Amino acid sequence: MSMQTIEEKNRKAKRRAFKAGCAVFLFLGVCTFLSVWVQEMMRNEVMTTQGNVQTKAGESWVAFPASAIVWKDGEPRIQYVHREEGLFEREWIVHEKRVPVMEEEDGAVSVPADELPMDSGKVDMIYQAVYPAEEGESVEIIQEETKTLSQREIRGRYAGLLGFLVFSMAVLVIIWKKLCFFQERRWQEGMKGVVLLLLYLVISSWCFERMRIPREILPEEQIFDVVFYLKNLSLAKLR
Amino acid sequence: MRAKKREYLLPGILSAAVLVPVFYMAACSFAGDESPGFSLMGYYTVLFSEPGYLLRFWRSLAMCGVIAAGQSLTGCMGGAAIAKYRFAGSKVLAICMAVFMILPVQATLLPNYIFLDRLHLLNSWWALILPGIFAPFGTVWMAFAFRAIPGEVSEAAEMDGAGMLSHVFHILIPAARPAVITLFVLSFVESWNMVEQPVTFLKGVRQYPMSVFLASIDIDRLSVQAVCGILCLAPVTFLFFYYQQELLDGIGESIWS
Repeated sequence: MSMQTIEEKNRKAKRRAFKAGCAVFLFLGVCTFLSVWVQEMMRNEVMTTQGNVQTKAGESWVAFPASAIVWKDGEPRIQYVHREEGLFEREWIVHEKRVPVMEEEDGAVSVPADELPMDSGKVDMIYQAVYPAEEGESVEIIQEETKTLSQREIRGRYAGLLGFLVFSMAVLVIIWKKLCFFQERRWQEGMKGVVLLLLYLVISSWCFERMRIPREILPEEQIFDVVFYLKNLSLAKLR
Repeated sequence: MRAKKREYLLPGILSAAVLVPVFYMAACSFAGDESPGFSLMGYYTVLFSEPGYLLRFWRSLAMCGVIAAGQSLTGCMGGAAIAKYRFAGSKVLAICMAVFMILPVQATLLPNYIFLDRLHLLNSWWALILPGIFAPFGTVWMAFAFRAIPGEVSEAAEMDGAGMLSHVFHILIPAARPAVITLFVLSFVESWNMVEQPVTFLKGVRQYPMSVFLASIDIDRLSVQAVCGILCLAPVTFLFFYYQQELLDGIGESIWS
């Protein structure tokens, strides 16, 4: 094989490696950016209560809605949230504690105050959640129940998500092609890719800020659960 | 034809044996953690739902990039000094460098720890970056590479009025380009795979780079661990494929010169 052919072969191999590497790292970069938003969107929404402190027979009791009690392995437990250091900011993290047998009355339960994990005399107990909360999960506290979205609104939000997905794929292919010019030392074309990437990130952030999607119309486990969306859409049609 | 096939048989078997853990890791990445069977949840978790993994990946990548670039720079400067300039104690210095290079990482951990503690750099990534940048391997490696460049080239550059820095950056480094790239790749791989230093110099899992963090992922999340492992392969694989030729030339030149 002549020297020129070997050099040409090496150059081609280099170009292929650069293209593949560029695609992988671009994908990982965009995933990093998207995962921040996905994590935020998929955060379970819960409502909390601190209960009412009552004194019975000289002992302090806390009364709260019975829905705050979760039965696990035949034992009553409460789920409460505690603010802890998260990846970017302080987050509400779910914890669980077994509570002793309680009095139940009119949909409310009472538990001795000293059995609760009080922090500065109060504890935020979860009494309602969009999806069952789990220990260690990061959740978002909402103040009041969000109104149920209309069929049109649900469709609109889903169309927004799908549109964003299609837009992202198209733009990312263009960006990848532009970035590959760096390998050929066509700096100007390559820089266009970088500018496009920055623009894409800015536009995406803006879209995510505007497109607030209530947790209840997103799947429980993973955001790409197509079956859930189809089911939800057919339910919306029936409503 | 048959003889040629037989020639490739043993290397083929050995390569397959080396790749078994990688295939196993790839298979694990598609396994469900809670129920057996095919699942993409490991990929979903790492790539889309928990940004902590990818952010750690990028941070580790940046740290290793800084170490590799820094070691290449100090290696080139130090290597040029030892190979091309004569000064008092240059030979002793070269021998010291070679001896320190041979020392295992574990032997230098304690002195490094004490030194970094005095500089108040423990529990920060500087504790990994600074010893990485000033590792003696780069200097010794580049000294070998620069020695192979004929003295006439340097003399001609000096006659044309090239100063010390322009001699290094415009004459020696371009002439030993494959060796410099090889040094960059090798130091990157070394820092990407470091384990002892982060465990000794950093306090908590939160600070650990990807190489050490892998071991601290919950064993019940085998698929997540496997995906992170695949993620760890990406930069190194890219560097090896992209700089394949330079690595061959660089290692060949430095060894046979």
